[in-house]
Amino acid sequence: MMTTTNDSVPAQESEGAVLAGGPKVEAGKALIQLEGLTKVFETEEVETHALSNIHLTVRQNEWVAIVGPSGSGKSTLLAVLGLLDTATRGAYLLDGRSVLDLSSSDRALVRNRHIGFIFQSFNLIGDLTVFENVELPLTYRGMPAAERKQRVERALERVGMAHRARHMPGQLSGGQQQRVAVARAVAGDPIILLADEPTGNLDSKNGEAVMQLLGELHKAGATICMVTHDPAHARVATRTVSLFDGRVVQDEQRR
Amino acid sequence: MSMLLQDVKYALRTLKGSPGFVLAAVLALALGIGANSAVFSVVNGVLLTPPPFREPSRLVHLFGNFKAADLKDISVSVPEYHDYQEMPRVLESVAAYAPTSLTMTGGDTPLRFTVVYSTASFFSTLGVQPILGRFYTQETETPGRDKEVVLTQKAWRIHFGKDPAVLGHVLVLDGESYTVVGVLPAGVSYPADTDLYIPFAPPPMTSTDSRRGNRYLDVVARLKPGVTLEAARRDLARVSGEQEAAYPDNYKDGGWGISVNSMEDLVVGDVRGTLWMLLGAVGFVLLVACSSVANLLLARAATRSREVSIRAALGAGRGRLVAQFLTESLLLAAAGGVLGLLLAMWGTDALLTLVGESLPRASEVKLDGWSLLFTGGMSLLTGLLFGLVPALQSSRADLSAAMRQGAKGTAEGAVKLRSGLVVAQMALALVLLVGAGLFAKSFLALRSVDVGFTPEGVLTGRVFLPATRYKESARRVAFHREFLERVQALPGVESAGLTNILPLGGRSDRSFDVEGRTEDPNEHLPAVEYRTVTPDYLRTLRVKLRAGRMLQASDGPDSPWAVVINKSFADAYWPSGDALGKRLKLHGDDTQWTTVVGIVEDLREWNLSQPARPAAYWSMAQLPASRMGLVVRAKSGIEESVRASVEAELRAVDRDVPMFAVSPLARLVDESIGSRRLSALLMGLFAGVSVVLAALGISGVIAYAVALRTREMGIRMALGAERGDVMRLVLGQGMKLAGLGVGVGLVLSLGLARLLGSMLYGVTAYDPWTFVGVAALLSGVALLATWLPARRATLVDPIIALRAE
Ligand SMILES: Nc1ncnc2c1ncn2[C@@H]1O[C@H](COP(=O)(O)OP(=O)(O)OP(=O)(O)O)[C@@H](O)[C@H]1O
Ligand SMILES: [Mg+2]
Repeated sequence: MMTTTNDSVPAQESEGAVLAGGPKVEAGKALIQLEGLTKVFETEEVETHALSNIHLTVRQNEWVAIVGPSGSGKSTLLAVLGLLDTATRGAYLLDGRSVLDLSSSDRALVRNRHIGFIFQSFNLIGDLTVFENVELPLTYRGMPAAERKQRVERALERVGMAHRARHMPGQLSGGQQQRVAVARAVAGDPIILLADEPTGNLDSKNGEAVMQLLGELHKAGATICMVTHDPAHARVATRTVSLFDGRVVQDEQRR
Repeated sequence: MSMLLQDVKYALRTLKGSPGFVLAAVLALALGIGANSAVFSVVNGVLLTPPPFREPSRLVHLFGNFKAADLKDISVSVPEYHDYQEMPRVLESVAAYAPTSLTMTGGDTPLRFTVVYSTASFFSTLGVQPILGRFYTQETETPGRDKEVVLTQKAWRIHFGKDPAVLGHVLVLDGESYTVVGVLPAGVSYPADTDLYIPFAPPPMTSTDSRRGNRYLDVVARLKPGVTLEAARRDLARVSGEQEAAYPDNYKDGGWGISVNSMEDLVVGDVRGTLWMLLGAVGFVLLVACSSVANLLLARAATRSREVSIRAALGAGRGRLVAQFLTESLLLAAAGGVLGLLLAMWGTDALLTLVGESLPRASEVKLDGWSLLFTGGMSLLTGLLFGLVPALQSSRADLSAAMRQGAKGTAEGAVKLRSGLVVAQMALALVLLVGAGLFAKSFLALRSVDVGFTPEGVLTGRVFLPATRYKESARRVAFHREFLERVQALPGVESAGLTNILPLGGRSDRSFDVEGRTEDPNEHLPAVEYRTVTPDYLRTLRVKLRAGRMLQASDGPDSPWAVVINKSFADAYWPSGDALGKRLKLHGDDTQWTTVVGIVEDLREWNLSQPARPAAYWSMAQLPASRMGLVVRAKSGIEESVRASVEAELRAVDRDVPMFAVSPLARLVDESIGSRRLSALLMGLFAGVSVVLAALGISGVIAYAVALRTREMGIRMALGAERGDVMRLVLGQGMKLAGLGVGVGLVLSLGLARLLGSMLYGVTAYDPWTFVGVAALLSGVALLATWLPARRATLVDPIIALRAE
């Protein structure tokens, strides 16, 4: 098992990349700041260092693609970012506020208000209509019905699914389901969108459509962290963070 | 064969792997089979098994009725019996009988027998044959030639060791010698618990028309073939009309009529409703049990559908799979069946112990093979049917699809089916709970009825003086005095008294005249609950005196007659409150004008559920009874403490007179509401069982639904749902089922409650508190039952949302 020193070869490159893209990005406000973040899974016999000493800052309106081989810790990183899981060590500031030692109900609150999730397997709830699915996070917020309706309609329009509001998820294609999932993620105006292989369950055509949708959201000001296996999709993002064995081995900014 | 063995082995191993499931399924089966068989056996024995008479449906009872005096189903006098022998056209034969009680002496201790005086036609009317000897003939219906006796099988067995040489044997009953001439077959003992039959030989004078009102006989008759009850009633209506015309003195303006009741109605009339109700209730329990079994097996099927798909994919034929699951179900069924059988045997006994004497024909009850077969078969069928579900699923055409989609589609179908079952269980449980609630309320209301006396600490017993030796009233008075003096002198006795009829011991109507009161034609035949008591009787019962005085020792044979009346009597006849000092006279040759000397509070002489009736307490020294009830209040407050010494005193007075039916008065009060207690108890039991099964059902279904929705819960939490939100969601799902069940159950109960009306006391069948309380209780139980799986749902890790499906 490698140690936590970050001095291997790819790390050097990463430093350079950050510096190269420096000035432009520095302009944005830091939404996510990870300091020495480590996640260790302890199972019966083995300890798995899924994340080792991660330093990462994500600024407003960045579009970060997280890449790396299977088992490198991408999903784990996303889970920690989304407050679905807690880190073993290190610090995590979300919008300037430390969120690592919040109670479970406070974390639920943060997820609900500030984070939008897009999952690989869409994760729409089968018993609820498209409208109700999008509405769900707003409901947990205790938002009045009229405002909910307005927001849901706007979000569905943004993803081009307004005409399917009364449908059940089972009646939609995969690509359509993912667009609904995107609407659900953005309906609550989160400060950051987290997506774990959002195109993983889609064919290339539908995958492209979803990527285009994310691009539009990004243009409109959204901050996105997206795990992907597809190098082509990673290239669309403004920055690519590569993980290997739980560590950041490359961090490349474009434009 | 080896295949079968292997199946059994495999089934045993899988069952061993899920002991909780096995326990639940076996218990549900056993409860369903056991409870049903037990109750059905009782109902079958009492209601459905015909009495051991030839064509029992043709047997009827005839009673007199005076509608104007509200006298229903009264006995028959000797002249009336003669009328019924001659006047009706619909009767094949008629018999009269009268139960009594005689004491057999000549052995070590005197023995009391329940004896029936009957006309010789009694046996031919019932259509029975002796197994030994013969029956007595019509010649014996003459006084002096009536000294023959027929034994029931039971008396023959217990007292004569089934000795065939018993014929010709002489029994001394109340001092008279009777020769045994015949023995009845087993099961023939009518009315219930009769030991001996002796000829009814009325003195000729009782047949004269002046004795038309002297009614003490029961009459049973056999209808001619093909005659319906309606036709018989029409014919007897004609007879009563002719009687009224022929004897206006006896019947005019009384609203006279003759009722014709089928024997079956008479024998089981009182408990019929209760028994059918219990049968219905236990049928509900069976439904709940069956749906529980179905539910459990469906749950199991869902967890195994994957296993089945894989086995099938590996080439197991459908036959193989069916055989394997069938083996498993059969093993479960066998275990449930055996346990059910034990429960049924035990339950039947327990039921009979519980109902004790209050159930007619209890002796005919035995565990019924058919009911066992029926309920067993039904539960087992449920078990087998639903046990096969996983095997049948495997036969679906598209196996690969089944594997790919996972169990999702079928699983959701199963949730729907199981939810339906749970709703049904909840509804049935609610109906049973409502029943239990209403019966419990009735029972409690009866328990708290003010009986008007203090039963605690009072021992009662019955003492019958043989008519032969105590013919003269002076001898009876002497007996009363000596016996009571001795009992009262006992150190443990506070006070003691005698009465002709103990509280709650039956009715004794007598008609009377009030001095200075001309007969109101609308109030024909004023009747009063007639008691003759010793001076300390009412004091011993702690009955409260309202006005005047109690009876006292000076109210003897030679003093002016005195009577104490109850409040209802006083209110009914002297509403202005001036009853004291008024005079009344019982009808009869042996009575005098009697002065009302005291008024006491009402006491329940007849039963607890009906208001007290006018009653009057004459002095036993003036109207000496030969059949008495004794009440003794123990100083210690413990009734039983005086029993032995009281019995010793009785032997000292007359060694040939036994005391029988010895019982604390409190127990008599309890027993008078025994069948109510039974109903409440059984309904409570049934309701309890169904509520437990329903709770397990709802808990299981929700747990299963939660398991299926684990991912959804994770997604919801990832989207920001808090634990409370998830908890509410699951509880909501459970409460939706519960609410649906409660709603359906309420509607069902409202429909069925009407049937309970007549079995309730002090509470209406639509008692809102019972309905609301029961609905709340069941919802509470459902909430608790849902809480466990709901809690599990809140522990779902939201991270599963990130994992691929
Ligand atoms: N709950 C857990 N318990 C133990 N180990 C875990 C757990 N979750 C993840 N891991 C381990 O942590 C490491 C990182 O897993 P992670 O799911 O983050 O990988 P990934 O980069 O998303 O891979 P993939 O591309 O296959 O989705 C792996 O070695 C994995 O086995
Ligand atoms: Mg992953």
